[in-house]
Amino acid sequence: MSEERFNELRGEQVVYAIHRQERTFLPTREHCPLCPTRAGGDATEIPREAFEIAVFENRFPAFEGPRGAAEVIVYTDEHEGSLATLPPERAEALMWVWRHRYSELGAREDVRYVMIFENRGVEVGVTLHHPHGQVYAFPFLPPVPERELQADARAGGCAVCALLAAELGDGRRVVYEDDGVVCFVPFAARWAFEVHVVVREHRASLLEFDAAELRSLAAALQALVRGYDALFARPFPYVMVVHQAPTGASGAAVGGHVHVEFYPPLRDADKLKYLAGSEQGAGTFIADTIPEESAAALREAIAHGA
Amino acid sequence: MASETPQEKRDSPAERRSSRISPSARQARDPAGDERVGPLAIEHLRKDDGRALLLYERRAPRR
Repeated sequence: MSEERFNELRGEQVVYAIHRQERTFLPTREHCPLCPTRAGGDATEIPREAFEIAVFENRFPAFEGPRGAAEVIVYTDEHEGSLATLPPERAEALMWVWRHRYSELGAREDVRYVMIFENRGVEVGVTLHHPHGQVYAFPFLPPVPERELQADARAGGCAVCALLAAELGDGRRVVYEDDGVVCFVPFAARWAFEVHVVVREHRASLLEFDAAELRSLAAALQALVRGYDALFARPFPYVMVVHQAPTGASGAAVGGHVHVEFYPPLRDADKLKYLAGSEQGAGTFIADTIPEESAAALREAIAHGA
Repeated sequence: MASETPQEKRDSPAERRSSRISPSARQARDPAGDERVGPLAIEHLRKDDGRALLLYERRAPRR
């Protein structure tokens, strides 16, 4: 069981999940716990010889009932690949799974925020290479979504809607768009190739998406990750987080506008951005690149990766 | 505690969690009883150690 302690100086919770020290660390393909269980092979987390998408409660959870949950979402039964290489209909199915997990976990009385995310690459601490993401159902509202609500208050309405309008008006940082979704390097990006994938219509959560919007979101995410991989001709590490409305005790959505944020640690083909003195001690990012130039490079890479 | 019934004492954490899921979170079921979300059928399983496992599969509703 995890323990939460409130850090007074930072004004935020710290979660101690010391059992996670024992979690599986970069196993060989033969011992991958996210592969199907094959005849004569190891028993894995999924006791089937084939599957499409699987979700299970994390064996090494940061959160678990009666205070939250931690789940693993396995995108495919194939060990190799990524979000970008899934067949389009599988990527679209994944959006429906995200929607379902938000619905089920967000309806729980002990859950205040459902965060769907993916860590890709050892650069961001991945311990299993099989294509997968995770869900953390927080029993409290974490600082980032709380700040998004504060941004709404400052904007006098939806801050994401206002930022989207500004990005479309400027246009220099937009890297991909279709009828439903816009992708851009934000005006004040903290990471060199940070991208926000924003649904055009105001939608508090994936529950408000129709099938066409889910399809559009899946296509945008795949185009972006293909572009990332084309940018430096290598698998591009990132942290991807789906931002949605916090969930109240009643299960009703409060505030929020669905968008997916990518935080890639690379600032060049072989250079990582580290969180050092200013970022850790002052909370101020010092960026080595300018968003307009990053967007131009990424826009070209997305076109090349298509 | 007066509010703690024998039944609650027997419930596993997973059972307690599922009891808190509101009716609004439950998904549509087709006439054959499959739980569905959009184009996906959902199969609920329980692993040997009690953890939940859900399998999602693109499948047309049964008739």
